[in-house]
Amino acid sequence: MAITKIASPSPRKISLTVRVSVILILAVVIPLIITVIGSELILRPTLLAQAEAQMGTDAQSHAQTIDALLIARVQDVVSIGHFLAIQKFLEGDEVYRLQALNELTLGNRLDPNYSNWALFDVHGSARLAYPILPPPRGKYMVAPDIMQKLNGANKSLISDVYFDTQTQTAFIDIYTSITTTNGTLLGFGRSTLKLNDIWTAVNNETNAAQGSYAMILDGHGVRVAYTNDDPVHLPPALFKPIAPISRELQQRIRDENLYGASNAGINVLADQDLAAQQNNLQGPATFQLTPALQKEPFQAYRATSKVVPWTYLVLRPVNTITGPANQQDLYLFLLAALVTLLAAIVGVIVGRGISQPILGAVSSLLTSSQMLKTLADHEQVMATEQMWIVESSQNGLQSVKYYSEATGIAAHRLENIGKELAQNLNKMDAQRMRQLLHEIQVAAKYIEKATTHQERSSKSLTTAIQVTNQVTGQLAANATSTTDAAAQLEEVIGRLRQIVGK
Amino acid sequence: MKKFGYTGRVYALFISILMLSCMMLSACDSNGSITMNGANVSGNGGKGCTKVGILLPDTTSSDRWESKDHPLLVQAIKAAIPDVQIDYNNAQGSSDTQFSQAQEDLARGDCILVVAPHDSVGAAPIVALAKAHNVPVIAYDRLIQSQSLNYYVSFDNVAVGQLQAQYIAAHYPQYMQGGKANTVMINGSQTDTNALLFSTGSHNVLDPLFANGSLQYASEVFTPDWNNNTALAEMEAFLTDRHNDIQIAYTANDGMANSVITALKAVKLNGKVLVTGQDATTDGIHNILTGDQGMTVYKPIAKLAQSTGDLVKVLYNGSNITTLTKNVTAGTFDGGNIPSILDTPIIVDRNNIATTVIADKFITKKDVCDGIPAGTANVC
Repeated sequence: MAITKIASPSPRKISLTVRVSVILILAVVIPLIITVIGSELILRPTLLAQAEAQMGTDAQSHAQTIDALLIARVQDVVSIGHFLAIQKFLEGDEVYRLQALNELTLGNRLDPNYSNWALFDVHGSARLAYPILPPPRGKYMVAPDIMQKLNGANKSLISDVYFDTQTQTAFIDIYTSITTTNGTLLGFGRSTLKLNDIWTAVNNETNAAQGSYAMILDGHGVRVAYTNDDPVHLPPALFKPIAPISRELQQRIRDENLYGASNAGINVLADQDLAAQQNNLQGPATFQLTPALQKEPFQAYRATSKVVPWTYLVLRPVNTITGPANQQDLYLFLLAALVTLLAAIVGVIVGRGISQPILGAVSSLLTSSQMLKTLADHEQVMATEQMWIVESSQNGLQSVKYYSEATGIAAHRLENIGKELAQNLNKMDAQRMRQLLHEIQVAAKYIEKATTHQERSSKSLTTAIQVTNQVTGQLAANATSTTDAAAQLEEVIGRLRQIVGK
Repeated sequence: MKKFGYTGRVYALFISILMLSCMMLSACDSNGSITMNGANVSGNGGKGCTKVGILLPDTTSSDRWESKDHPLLVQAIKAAIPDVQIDYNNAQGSSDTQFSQAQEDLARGDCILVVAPHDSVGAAPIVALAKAHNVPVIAYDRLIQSQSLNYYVSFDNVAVGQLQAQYIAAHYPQYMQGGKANTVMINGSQTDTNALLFSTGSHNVLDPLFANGSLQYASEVFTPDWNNNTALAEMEAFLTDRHNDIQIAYTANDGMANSVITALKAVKLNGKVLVTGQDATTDGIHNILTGDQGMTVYKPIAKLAQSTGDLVKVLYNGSNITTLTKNVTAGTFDGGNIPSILDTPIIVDRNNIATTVIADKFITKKDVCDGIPAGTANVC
């Protein structure tokens, strides 16, 4: 039977245990990696979208609340401006002064944030006020541009923001035109509303999320409300525009003492990103920027008021928004580390469970291989011995044959000598006799020598037979060893089948 | 059956762990939200509409909303659209609730909304939402402060205040004490545009009397949410502040008038102080018959409901509404001029109860006379 020698593969450098562990680790880590990637691609945008929605609701509800508040306050002024006593008083009927004052008092009680109600004539001169005659707004009691806008029936407007540096209070003026029933302008009614509630709402934005804050930008881009957790000092960004303002506006600010600026005007705290967004109010309501005075990116959501040209901005650090994603990533990494460790341990256990029987089988195979190799060596020795025995036996047999033939030749010679002696004994001379005797001696010696050689050959054959017996015994022993090796191989095969299946 | 070899087992193990890990991780998903796009229902401007939402403000400021407006509106709208489906809601005094109810109505496919706002300003988002669905909103009895509001059906509310004040102007001499008629004014909710209009109307009449000293202006308040308990506290405070020297109590509606009378009874001044009211409620009529209240304003809710039903029918038919509104408009703060149907209110005192609220079956005679001595005001 032909035996094909199979080229044995080069042994792997990494053990099976390590490979199983690595496979298990990969099986665990790959989903984690997929999840982390998913987190980056899906969760973070989702969190941002959720935060945007939440901030949008927040900003819009605040803007709507401000709108509702201002509408109600405008209604207050407009309604009370329709009261007959006020109209009559502005017409010049002094009889109505007290009642008009009563009605201003009534108006002032409609909201605890009202600080003053006043009536002005068509030239902007104060005629009546409660509780006191209000101080002028810079150079004017009523700014000319305001009077111009109020020139007509049922007109109302809300002023820009003022700031009382004495009381540290921001306020607005709400104006309404006061006319006769036929539409003749009699003057203006004005309520002064402190922005305390609006500032409180802006300050409360810090409750929405860590690092969150809010601001209100007016139509000039000036921050008229800004989250402040300092009970003593105003926030540094307050009453500062986000972009340079025109010279005309700066002058108007000085003239009307807007933002508490007095003669100094207001300083710019530039925020280019925000200014760019504000220049495009039709753009998206939500965007990212790094606001002035901040060092990290913020997500911003803006909602515009429908009553005043204000923008309510809610800002929240992006890190805060994506915090859950970061946290999840951290947990995933920790989980990955833990699971990797577990997988490695399991891999080692499983790998050992698989490799140990194989290693045992390999060890057994090695033993069997060595046994067979030893046997092969023995067989080779025995084969050599057997060859030598056969050769010796052949030589012995040839020697025996040679000496048998030689003995036969010698015996035949002796027979011939005998015959010659018998026939010619009397005729033979002494020389011949001596010659024949010499030949008899030679033949006898030859026979003796052959016999000696035969004995020697017999001894050699005896030795060969003894060696043959020994070799036979060794062959029997080798056969037993081979059987044992075969049994071991069967056992190895059985073990391997246990591991890999049939 | 094919059995796996070693390699197959390892790969099977790998895949199993992979799947298990994915399943575990999927269970760790963040709180993702499911966004459902609401049905973008087109209200078609109310034309062909067979689903109408009615949203009334509360059950506490006056019993009229549930006992009168609700059934009468349902009746009028069913008469206007025979197969109509009506979704009725009461906001129970909450603007947020009312907005949520409007959202639900629109989600159900309502294509005309009749809204008596709890808050004239707070209800503006309802109008904006309805406009996005092309659903017309009829502000019922109370104006909604939005230029997007489609229609307004109410009474001439300035006239309501004027009727109340005119009654005071006509009767205050009977209540004067020591030549004085100290007057307190308890208005409705300042967030209700109607309350401001009532106040304007009353001041139009009373201010000359205050100015010439016929009446003494003692004090005036607006009462948040028309709350009757608040009105009671307000009147008690006035009495205390003025040492009970009050002769006139202009009170914006019957509910608050009843509270004022309660305060007056406590100091035995009921019947000696002129108290006004509005809405012609059963309690108000009783108080008139007992002499504790001088008058009320009867706003025939049936007429208001009928005007609303008429408007709903015109919208359903897609007809021109100017035949109903006659180009009357009501102004909103933001410059809106809302096409309006403004019905005329009727003053009711002990002299015309029978010919108004009883004749109109606004209140039954049995209810009017319950607990009232026979022969009172020639009614019972």
